Amino acid sequence: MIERIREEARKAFEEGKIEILIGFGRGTLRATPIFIEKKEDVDKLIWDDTCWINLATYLRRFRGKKTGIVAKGCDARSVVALIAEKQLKREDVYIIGVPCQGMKNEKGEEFLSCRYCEYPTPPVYDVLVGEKREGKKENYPDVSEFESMPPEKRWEFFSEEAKKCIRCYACREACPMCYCEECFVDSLDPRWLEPGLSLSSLQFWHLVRAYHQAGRCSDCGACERACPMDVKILYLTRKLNKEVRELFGFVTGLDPEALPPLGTYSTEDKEEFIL
Amino acid sequence: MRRIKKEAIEKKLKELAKDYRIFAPMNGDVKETGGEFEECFPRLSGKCAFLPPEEEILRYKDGKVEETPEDKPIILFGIRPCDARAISLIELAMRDEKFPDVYFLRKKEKGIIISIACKEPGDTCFCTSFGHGPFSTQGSDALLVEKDDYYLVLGNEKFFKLFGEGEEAREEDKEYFEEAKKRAEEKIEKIPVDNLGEKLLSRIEDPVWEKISRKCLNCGACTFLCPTCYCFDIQDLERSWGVSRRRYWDSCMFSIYTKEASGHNPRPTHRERVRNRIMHKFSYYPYLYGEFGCTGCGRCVVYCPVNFDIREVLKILGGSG
Repeated sequence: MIERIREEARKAFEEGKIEILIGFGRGTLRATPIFIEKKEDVDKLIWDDTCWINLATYLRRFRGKKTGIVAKGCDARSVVALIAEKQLKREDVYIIGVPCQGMKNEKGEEFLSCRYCEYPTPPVYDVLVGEKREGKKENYPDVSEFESMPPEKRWEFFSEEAKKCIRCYACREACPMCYCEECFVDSLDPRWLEPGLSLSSLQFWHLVRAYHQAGRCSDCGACERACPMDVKILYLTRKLNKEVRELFGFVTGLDPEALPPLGTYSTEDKEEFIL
Repeated sequence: MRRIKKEAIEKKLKELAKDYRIFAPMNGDVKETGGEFEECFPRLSGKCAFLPPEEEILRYKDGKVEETPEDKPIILFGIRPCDARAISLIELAMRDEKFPDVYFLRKKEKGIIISIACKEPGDTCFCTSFGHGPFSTQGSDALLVEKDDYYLVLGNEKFFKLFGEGEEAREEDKEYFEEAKKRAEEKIEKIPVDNLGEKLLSRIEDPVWEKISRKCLNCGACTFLCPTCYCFDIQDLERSWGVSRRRYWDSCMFSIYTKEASGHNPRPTHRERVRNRIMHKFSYYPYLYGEFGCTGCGRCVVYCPVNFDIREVLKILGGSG
């Protein structure tokens, strides 16, 4: 696999398709993001089951440059979502798609987002490396489990998770879709949210970040893995993705032309969630 | 060196919880406890005791300013020597004669710090690079070394007055101490730091900073978990009864940290922000206070989402990598 990735990367440099390539290299603890500027360096690329960062989060830094990206299914879907939101131009991004085998933590356990991954193969790419992989069709069993809890238990679970947060914003920074010039938590005028670790502030942060991800999140799980405090986040973002799918029939990052539900309005929109 | 029964210290700690606020590693982080503690290298460091993530410093109520009264004195128990040392490093800045930090210093002056020697250092530890190590006593009122059901203790008067003196350590205890110390120190990677401050300063405009910093996401995980990072922000918050002036951990990794009222940001990208974090710890801190602002605990290495490894950065910038 890695030879194929390197070969495609080298070719892309030779054919002038890219000026820079974002991929994974060998880190000291696991795979680490690397930025390659010449074809001689493509041998630094690696591929293993610790490549869990979503590399699409770096793409906006290179706007205006022909940028290549080694993308798993979820990374590629984030690229598509960024294109749909006019943050990138399709022609500026060269996607080396890698059908993903699933990523694992340091104990060798597969991450939740990978266990239920529907799109291990990038739905959009310029070149695909390796055989396509089938996704799982399990319809959010983890979310159903959360939904089946009585409301007070759900609130308790949510509060206990939020309480662990120290507001380092690793989740936000690891997320390709958290690209606001000024995040609502940083705004001083108006001040939407107080600083500090009061329970209400933490609940507010986690709820509002999740809401802003509805129909934009590719279920990559980088936010939860980036969190140094082990705060669970995916039960919220995946719940919203499930809702968006049921209400609007929309799945994030499959088609760069499709307008995302938060960015459009149709008179046919379902309204049963409005009281 | 003295030897004191473990259970005597554990019992005493619980008793002291009446008159002291006890902070200790518990469920993986340093937090306030009722005198219980857990033997571990905690994720949230010992700084939480003296520089909490959030604290009120004064109130404005009924037209009057009320300073937040002093709380009970603090006992910080069971941290590793690197965390104890870290607090003594923070103290250097907090004691700066131009801006002494009364809120930190009043806690520190009455506080007691008791560390447990680190017999099994981790793969990401590099504390010996800074001339200290897993059995260092700097910053500790007492260093405890576990041996069977005893602690071997190197402590000061403050500690022995509270916890009792136990008995004189035996010859075999001293041998055990030296051997355990040697074994632990041998496991730790040493990063060359000779003249690092000057080397960094001479390379401040080096294009290598752009390369080093590229993968940094500019989240605050490294700085919040760092035992020596002490930056804070102060804000006045409206309450139904008046105004609460509070301070919070802040991070030089955030773009908003240096954003000025005009909108101008003198550290506009990851390059300037990462450079500042490294320069502050390894160049400005030694220049101002004579010590590196790092104890080599390795938390920033372990918890960085993108495996930004400060050891590698120091090797590159120090000319050995």
